[in-house]
Amino acid sequence: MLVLVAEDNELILRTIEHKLLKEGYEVVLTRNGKEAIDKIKEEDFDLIISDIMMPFASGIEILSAMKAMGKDTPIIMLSSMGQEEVVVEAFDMGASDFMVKPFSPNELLLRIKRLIK
Amino acid sequence: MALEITLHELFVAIIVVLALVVCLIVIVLLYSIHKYRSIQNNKAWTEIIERKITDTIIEGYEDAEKDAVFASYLRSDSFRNLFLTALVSSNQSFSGHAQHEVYELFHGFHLEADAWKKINRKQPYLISGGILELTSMRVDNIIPMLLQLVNHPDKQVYQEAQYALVNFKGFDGLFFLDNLETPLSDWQQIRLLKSMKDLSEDYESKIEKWLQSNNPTVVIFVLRLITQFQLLSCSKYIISLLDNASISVRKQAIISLQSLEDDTTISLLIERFQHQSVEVQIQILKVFKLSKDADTITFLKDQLFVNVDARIKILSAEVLFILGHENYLKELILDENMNPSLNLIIKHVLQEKVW
Repeated sequence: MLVLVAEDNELILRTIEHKLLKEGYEVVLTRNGKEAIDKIKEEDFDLIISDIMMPFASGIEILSAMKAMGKDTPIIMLSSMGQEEVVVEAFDMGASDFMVKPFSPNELLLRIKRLIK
Repeated sequence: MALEITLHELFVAIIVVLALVVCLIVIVLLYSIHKYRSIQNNKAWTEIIERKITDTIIEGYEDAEKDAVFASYLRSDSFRNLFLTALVSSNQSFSGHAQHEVYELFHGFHLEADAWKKINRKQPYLISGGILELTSMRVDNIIPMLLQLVNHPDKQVYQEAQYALVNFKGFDGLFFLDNLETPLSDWQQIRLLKSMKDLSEDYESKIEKWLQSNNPTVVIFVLRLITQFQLLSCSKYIISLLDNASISVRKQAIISLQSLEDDTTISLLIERFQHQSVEVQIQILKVFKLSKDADTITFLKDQLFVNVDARIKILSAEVLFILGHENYLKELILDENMNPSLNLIIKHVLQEKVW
């Protein structure tokens, strides 16, 4: 199972990577939205975890790019408090799930398993 | 008397100047090397710290305790400070079990003392940093100290103390509003509102009191609080604020009334419209724009003709358009007896909306 993680906070990125590797997933990391869109173009992922606010391209732009590419990979959005409107927009654009920071990595893992199943 | 300089004196002067320049270059070089090394150190240390926190979140705290290499880094004050900052930041990113592990790291490596040291320093940025760290790590022994720091003369310190109090005590932590004379900035209001999860049982009497504050920012904050918690029972207090001396308070009162809207809100705002300043009138029209209430139509048509302010006319026309009265506006511009300036305004609105 190949998972793409797009997040500009290094600590969150590393923690998710660590957690996923431990569970046996293959992980690709990106630190900005543009890099994430490039990776999505190149490879077919089983799941994407993306922060909503990132440098160069936001999570919403990633969803929009995926739509344009005709890819319907499940995507979990990570948002901060107070981004409710963006989360609603993300769901309208096809996001599968979202988590608000601060979040529990264990809960994220449960949601990943549910989505990939 | 002419000043005479010997060749020897000139030579000595040049040597002295040259020596000073060389000294300056050496100092700048040494400082740059020091800066470079500390940047490099910080970069390397940040990686070590992030790895440690990630490992602890995933593997649990026990392994972290046995890490002698990491413990050796902790002998440096700069490293400890960086570690503390990273723990606070990770605490804002994670919850549940992961957050618990972050607390374990904080207590296990005895960082609490470092944060306390900052509280006792004189520099405001250090004190506020200490408050943030202890609050973030849920060290509730700081609460008695916060009661004093909330009156600290420095803005950075008292703002952090206010935030910490609300973080620990929720709504009850807002007691500082009773006598608050300094402005509560918009950013601080957002922070406080975000950290409020619920209200105490006697909230209404406190809210009533704070709404009578002479500090407009306190009143605005409480209005936002009412909106956030949808406190319908507080509508009666908000209505009286429509006559408040501060325009900002009146504008926020209108926004709050809209969020608690009932069947009397629109008629109340229409009734109060005439006695308000243009800024407040604009806010009322913005509310009408959002509410899309048909009861405003006659009033809006009146404003097009009666109100002298072009901004009010434009907004009134916009709301009429949104309410589906496009044809009415089109008929108006065809009327040859129409006031030319109103004609232009309506044409502008129609053009904006159609395009």
